[in-house]
Amino acid sequence: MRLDPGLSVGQWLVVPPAMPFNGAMQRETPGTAPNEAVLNEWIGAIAERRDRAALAALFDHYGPRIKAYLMHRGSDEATAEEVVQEVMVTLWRRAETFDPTRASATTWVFTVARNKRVDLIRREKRPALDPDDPTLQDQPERSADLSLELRQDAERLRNALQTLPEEQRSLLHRAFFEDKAHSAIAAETGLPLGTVKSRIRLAMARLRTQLQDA
Amino acid sequence: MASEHAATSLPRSHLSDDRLIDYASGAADEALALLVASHLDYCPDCRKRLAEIEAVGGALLDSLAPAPLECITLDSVLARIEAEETPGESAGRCRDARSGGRDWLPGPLKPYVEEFPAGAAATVEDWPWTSLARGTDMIDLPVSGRCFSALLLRVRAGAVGPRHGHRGNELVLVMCGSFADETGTYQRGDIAQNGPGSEHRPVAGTESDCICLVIMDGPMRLAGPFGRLLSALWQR
Repeated sequence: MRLDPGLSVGQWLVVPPAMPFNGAMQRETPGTAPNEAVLNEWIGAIAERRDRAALAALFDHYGPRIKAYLMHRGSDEATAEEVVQEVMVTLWRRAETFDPTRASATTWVFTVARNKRVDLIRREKRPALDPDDPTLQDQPERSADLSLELRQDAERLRNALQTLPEEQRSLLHRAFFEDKAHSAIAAETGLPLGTVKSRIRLAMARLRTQLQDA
Repeated sequence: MASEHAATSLPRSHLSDDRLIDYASGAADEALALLVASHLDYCPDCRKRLAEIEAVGGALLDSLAPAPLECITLDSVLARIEAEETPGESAGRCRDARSGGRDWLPGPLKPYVEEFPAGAAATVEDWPWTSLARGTDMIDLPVSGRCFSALLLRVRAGAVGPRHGHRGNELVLVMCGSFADETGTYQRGDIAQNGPGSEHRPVAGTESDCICLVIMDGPMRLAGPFGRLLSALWQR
């Protein structure tokens, strides 16, 4: 196995920053944010009985966060809200395809938002893995245990993120939510490019370790 | 079908977390997304790492400071839902049964192949190959995005591909057959990476033609007397 020799920085699309990074990561006190089990219930209620109250709850929790995600990635306010609307429609229509043995609710919402953003903002084809493709090699078994495990992992991950050194957390945040080249991140943080990349990898490694140790 | 594949060997060279984060966050351009998605088709290890990275994305999304919504409301979402609800519409995907004979072709590439002039029913021989050198053919894939270009490369079984170098980075995903060069042997699902300044000469395995998905972010440079001419044509 060969490692990626830190090839290019070009794949990070460089878009003029729409918002200065303010490092704002909301730390919610436990109990105010819905936990994974509650999120699963909301999505399940939409799938099973088209529950509008459940959609309202998802809308209240995720709407403003998805908008923030879009604006961090350079969308104007109107486009960001348009995408939020699209995401909500998709959560409603595709709730029954949510598979809790495959991803936690938070992860699922994130991937839906990410895909909608790409569809609506870039209006270009974006090849994506089809997880139901029968040609996938070595499909793992799925079980109810796995669903519980994923939910617990998602909870642990939220906590693990809070324990990362501030710098690593902020770099991960930028890598996910800002259309910036590694080199631009390097220039702004004053860190050499190689250091930015290695710290992002380090942060991922640390999160993985925390999940495995738990 | 899956059990049939389980017997084949799994990729031994993989994508870095950086690349997977680009893919997971939606920052990857079309060619990179195509290569990553196609590798994921073969590689349970990278699929597992992608799932972890997407979970990090979810947790980060949850921790974002909310931006209050100004224009849309739950009512406007519900109105959109009612307007769009068309009974009988299926969320299922249309599968191309005709590509059954090419089950090595990763799903994400199928839409590109279906757009070839000969259509989805065509055999690999009917694809619009352009000869690059003896025994080596290519098809340029139309991709948007500013960074990587994408192409399919076929080296006939046992053929020696042209010696070439790169001014940028090249990532090669083997989809069918195998090839070897100075850096190692690559089989189905493996990714070979070549950086600026490297020069290599791929040789296809003898078991079958070797077909690869190649993306590169800089021009390729063919070595040898005809290399300059071919390189010029390549960069038309």
